[in-house]
Amino acid sequence: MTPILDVKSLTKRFGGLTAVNALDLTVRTGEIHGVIGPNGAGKTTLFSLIAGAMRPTSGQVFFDGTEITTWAPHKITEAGLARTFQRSAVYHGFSVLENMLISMHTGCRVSLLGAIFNFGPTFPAAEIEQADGILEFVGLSEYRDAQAETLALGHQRSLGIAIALATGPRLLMLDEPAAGMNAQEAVVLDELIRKIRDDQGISVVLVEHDMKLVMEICDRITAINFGLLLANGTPEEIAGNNEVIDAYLGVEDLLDEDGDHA
Amino acid sequence: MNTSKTLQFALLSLAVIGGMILLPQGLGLYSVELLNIFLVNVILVCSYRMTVTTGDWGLAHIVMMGVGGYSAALLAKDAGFSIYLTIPAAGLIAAFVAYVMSLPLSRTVGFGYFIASFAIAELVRLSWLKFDTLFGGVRGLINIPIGKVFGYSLFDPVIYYYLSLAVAVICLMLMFQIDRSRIGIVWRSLSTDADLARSGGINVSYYRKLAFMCGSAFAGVAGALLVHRLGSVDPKGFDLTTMIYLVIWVVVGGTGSFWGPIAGLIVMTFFFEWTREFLAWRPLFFGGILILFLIFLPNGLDGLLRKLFDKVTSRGGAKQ
Ligand SMILES: Nc1ncnc2c1ncn2[C@@H]1O[C@H](COP(=O)(O)OP(=O)(O)O)[C@@H](O)[C@H]1O
Ligand SMILES: [Mg+2]
Repeated sequence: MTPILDVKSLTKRFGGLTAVNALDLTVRTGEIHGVIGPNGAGKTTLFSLIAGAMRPTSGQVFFDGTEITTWAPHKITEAGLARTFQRSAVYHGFSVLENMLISMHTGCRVSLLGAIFNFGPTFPAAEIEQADGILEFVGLSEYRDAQAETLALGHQRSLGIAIALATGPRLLMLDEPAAGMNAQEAVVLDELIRKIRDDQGISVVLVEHDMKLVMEICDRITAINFGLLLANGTPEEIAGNNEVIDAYLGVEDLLDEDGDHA
Repeated sequence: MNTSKTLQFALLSLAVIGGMILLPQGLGLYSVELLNIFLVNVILVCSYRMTVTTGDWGLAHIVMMGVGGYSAALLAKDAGFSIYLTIPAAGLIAAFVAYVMSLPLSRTVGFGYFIASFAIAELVRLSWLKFDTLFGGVRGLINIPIGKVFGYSLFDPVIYYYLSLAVAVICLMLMFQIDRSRIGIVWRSLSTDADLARSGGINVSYYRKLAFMCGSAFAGVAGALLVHRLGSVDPKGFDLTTMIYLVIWVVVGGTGSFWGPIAGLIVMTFFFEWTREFLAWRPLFFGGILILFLIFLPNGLDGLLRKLFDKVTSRGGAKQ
């Protein structure tokens, strides 16, 4: 089976700094794939390169067998690859529901004439129903009519995921989704990510600092440092990899914890 | 909007239009001429808001109005088009010129866009000066035919007023429909977070171009109305000073709702008339007002009223 995402020897230089260095990454269809590495390792840059927000210096990106290296970001999203941002990114000045509806843009374009001669509601009932379904799925139904910027940080993070889901992805890339969430919210997030894969059949790439979360829910993990590939493997293999332990302080503690669980 | 709100809105619109139809009856000719210019400016401010909702605050809009004005003048003078044709044609030509301008402009953002829009608009304005065989140079074009509607000469300011009113109402309805559509909402989303929009599958560059073209089309229509009324057109009428007035109207009104810029225009038009005695001080007054609004009321009168309304009814999230 073709992998949903195949990154080949991807490189990005910022002047003298090589943020991503000849990196390979293969994400199998239907898996939750973790990407870990210390701050500044190049994880966010990798996401931006894959999603088309930045052009790589060299290398290739294949999405479900199609090369998308030079595609515009909206084309990549239309093709079914969505990403979230490390910062909390929601549309300010719009309600939570409107945030959904804006993002369901893919596939429901409106022409100028269509806009002018539409005397009914702006969004058809079917679209609103679909948007409500996604809000229910991520647990934001009760905030549907609130202004997005008034939500608590944790809820804004969930809305960020909902916005990405609204584009109808086959692969979802989450950039530190637990950042800004409290422990309780992180547990719910853990559950949500599993549901995204199990119920919706969406493959997931997860960048996360919460190692416990990563070790628990990922099928495979790629560890990077200074833009270079450190290791690739199952959570157990990664947890036992000395290079990863050296690069990533705190994994040792986790090893014990995880050992207890296993 | 729910049904009772829609009904309220329809009744209010009818009342306003009815009032506007009766208005010239009680007014002198000078006031009717002011109303004619006011209607042109209503189209102008709403069309400027249209492009500005994307976050693209530019300085080209008044020149887009000029493109419409010159187009209407040339079509009426040289091709003998009637005013029924020159007005829509001016809009289409302005939209086409806007499309060409947007090719380089859509590659700039923020401050870069602000300056580039001025530079490229100035290029258009200078071409009116330079190619004087076509555009008449500094003196511009004069003796632009005005024509008739239903046998009445449009030279009569009251007759012209009714034509302008009809055109303004049609333009506002079109702009209102676009503003409340998915297109309008996507435009507004761009100003809040273009990166998010891009990764949300929105072709940001396409929508920015579309907003500039639509806004320019209506500015072109406003230009045609103005030029037919004045009977002449020259480059001076579309310079930076005029553009700054347009910015002031829209900033004072606020871009948060469709009606904000019209409120700004009304208030500042009265202010403009009141300050007639202090002619030399006028730029200072207007500059001061712009700065005060930017500092204390960045959402304009629209934002202020909304805040007061929310306070009075003590509920948040009241939105159009
Ligand atoms: N736009 C940019 N311009 C210059 N340097 C950048 C840019 N984006 C990221 N970097 C640098 O690239 C490196 C990797 O950053 P990033 O991808 O954000 O790391 P991570 O997400 O793993 O913490 C950092 O050293 C960062 O300073
Ligand atoms: Mg990062």
